Amino acid sequence: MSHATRIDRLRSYPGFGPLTIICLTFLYAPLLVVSVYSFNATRSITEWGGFSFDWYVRAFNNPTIRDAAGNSLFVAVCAATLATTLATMAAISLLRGPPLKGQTGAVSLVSLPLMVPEIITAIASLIFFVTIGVPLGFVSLIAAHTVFCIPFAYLPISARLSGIEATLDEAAGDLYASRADVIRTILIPLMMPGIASGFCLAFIVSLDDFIIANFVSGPGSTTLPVAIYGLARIGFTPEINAVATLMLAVSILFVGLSWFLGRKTTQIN
Amino acid sequence: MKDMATSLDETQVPPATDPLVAKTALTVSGAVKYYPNAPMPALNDVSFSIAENEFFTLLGPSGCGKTTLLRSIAGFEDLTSGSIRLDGDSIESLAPNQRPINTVFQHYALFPHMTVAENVAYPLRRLRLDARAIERRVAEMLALVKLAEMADRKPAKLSGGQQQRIALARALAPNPRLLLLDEPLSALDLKLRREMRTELKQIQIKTGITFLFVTHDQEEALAMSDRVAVMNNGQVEQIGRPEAIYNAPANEFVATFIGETNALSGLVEKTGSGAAQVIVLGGIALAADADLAVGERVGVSVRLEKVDLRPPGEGAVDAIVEQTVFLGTDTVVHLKVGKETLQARLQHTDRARPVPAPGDHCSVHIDPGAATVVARSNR
Ligand SMILES: Nc1ncnc2c1ncn2[C@@H]1O[C@H](COP(=O)(O)OP(=O)(O)OP(=O)(O)O)[C@@H](O)[C@H]1O
Ligand SMILES: [Mg+2]
Repeated sequence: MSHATRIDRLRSYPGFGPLTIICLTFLYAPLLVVSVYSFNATRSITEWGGFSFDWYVRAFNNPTIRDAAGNSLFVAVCAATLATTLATMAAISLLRGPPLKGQTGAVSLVSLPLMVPEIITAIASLIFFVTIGVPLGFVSLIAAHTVFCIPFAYLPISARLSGIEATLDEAAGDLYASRADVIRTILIPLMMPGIASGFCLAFIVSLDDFIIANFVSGPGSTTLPVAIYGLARIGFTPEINAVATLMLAVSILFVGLSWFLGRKTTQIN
Repeated sequence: MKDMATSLDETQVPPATDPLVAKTALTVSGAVKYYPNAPMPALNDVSFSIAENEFFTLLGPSGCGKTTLLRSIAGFEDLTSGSIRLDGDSIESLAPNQRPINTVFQHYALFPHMTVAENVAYPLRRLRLDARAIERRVAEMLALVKLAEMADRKPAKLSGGQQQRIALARALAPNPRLLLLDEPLSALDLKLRREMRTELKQIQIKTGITFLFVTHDQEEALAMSDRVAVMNNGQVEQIGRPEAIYNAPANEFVATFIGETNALSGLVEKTGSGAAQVIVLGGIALAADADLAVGERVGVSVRLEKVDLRPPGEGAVDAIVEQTVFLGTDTVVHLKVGKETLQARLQHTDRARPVPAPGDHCSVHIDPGAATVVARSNR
């Protein structure tokens, strides 16, 4: 059965139309409202008073928000880079290395953070850092985010790697390439779309994370979601809407980018 | 490895050598390979040696262990027992990238992210040749396979035949001691396959590199090879020049696998002075050189083209034409001789002699020396 006919059959179910509309409304209406009121000329977040960019300007000039945004970007870049590197190494050794004892176990171990409730990870990380005496700050935050981001980076990277024929490794080896040469000249270049896709996902997961950051970041390393939470407790202003809208835009951009890069996986080879 | 890198510039054309007196390039002895959890060995005591500059072919049906043998020589599989020596030195402890042996893979295995020129340069870069030498060698190799104008394209933009040539150029570029080719032509269409066959042979002569070629296509094997090893069930059944394999098959498997043959049952009638006479089809006497006992039943192979059809009464036994199959240059005639069936291949060169039609009566003549005794049966 083709994709198109399956959707057609789905459409013919009674109530499909209204149900879809209800779901989409619940999902996107709040986001839409937040975005729309970020352009409100007045202070209200419920009453429209004309169009303006004022709240964006104010958000940019707010030192709390600006510092937090800088922290967030810094942490996300570091964590995503580390997670992508580790995930790439894990994928190559698990999929292309010599058969390992407990191989399936290792793969599940890599993706474990996907299944553990985030609050548990957060509390466990906090206890861990306190126990081993790492002060809460950038180091603890980046370490926690790296671990949390690995499975997100691993998925597109390993998908891409399994699409690369193993005969290419053998051909390179046959043509005098050492194992390191094979990884450097064949596997990494061919995995690049998957690696980029994994980086985008890891980046956005780190950027958007609130729970872990809330537990393990220190006074100087507050990230944007944590800062927004702090501001919202004081009182809602369209300034928060403006920051939220920007974060939403960045998220959509990166998730879209990751999807676009990941889609190439099935096309090459 | 160092020797190989420095010997690249030698463009000498070695003379075609007689495999019997030439220097031995590769020796495989007593090769046995069991895959994990497989009850039967993929290779069961395989031994042979290949002379320098020889075009040697492994021929056998699917699953007989050809790829396993090639992968063991390349270094991708370890033998369970046995030894592989190149120029007299054991190479079993060397990793694939340390063996001066290159492979042309069945599905080419070109690197998709590199251009044609980069693909050909790949092994030369790994051997750390200087840039000028690499450039020169790549140009030389692309000229050899007649694809110089494709240097900057990506492999995906080439046809199957062109990709095949690039794979060949890439494997030949480092001037290996031995080139392994695993069914390199099987993915090409018939016409291209025929063209590549000639070209491959020419390239082998021109470069003077020893080729170990694998195929399940007997025509390919006979057309290109200096010598052929016929394999079955992980064993070598016969090794010899193509004519010897074709005309004097060592056993029934070789006889039926190479070319088309009539597998007949014969009765040994007369032996004396080293020669035996075998009667087939109830009346045709054939010569057999084996020492056979009178009254023994044996299997006899008679090639289709060795069966001669004559007007009724002129041949040794009478036959009735059951069916004729037109094949272009020749026609295969299915005959009934008493209770037995026989096939004959008639070439359309003799215009005066018409091809018989189904139902026609004729008689069969077979030259006494045209048959091979391939098996003894105890029945
Ligand atoms: N990796 C493997 N694990 C287990 N058994 C294998 C493996 N590779 C091959 N075999 C078995 O070993 C035998 C020989 O296989 P091989 O691939 O060498 O045959 P082949 O002659 O190359 O056949 P083909 O013409 O189909 O390529 C077969 O019975 C096959 O099933
Ligand atoms: Mg094979």
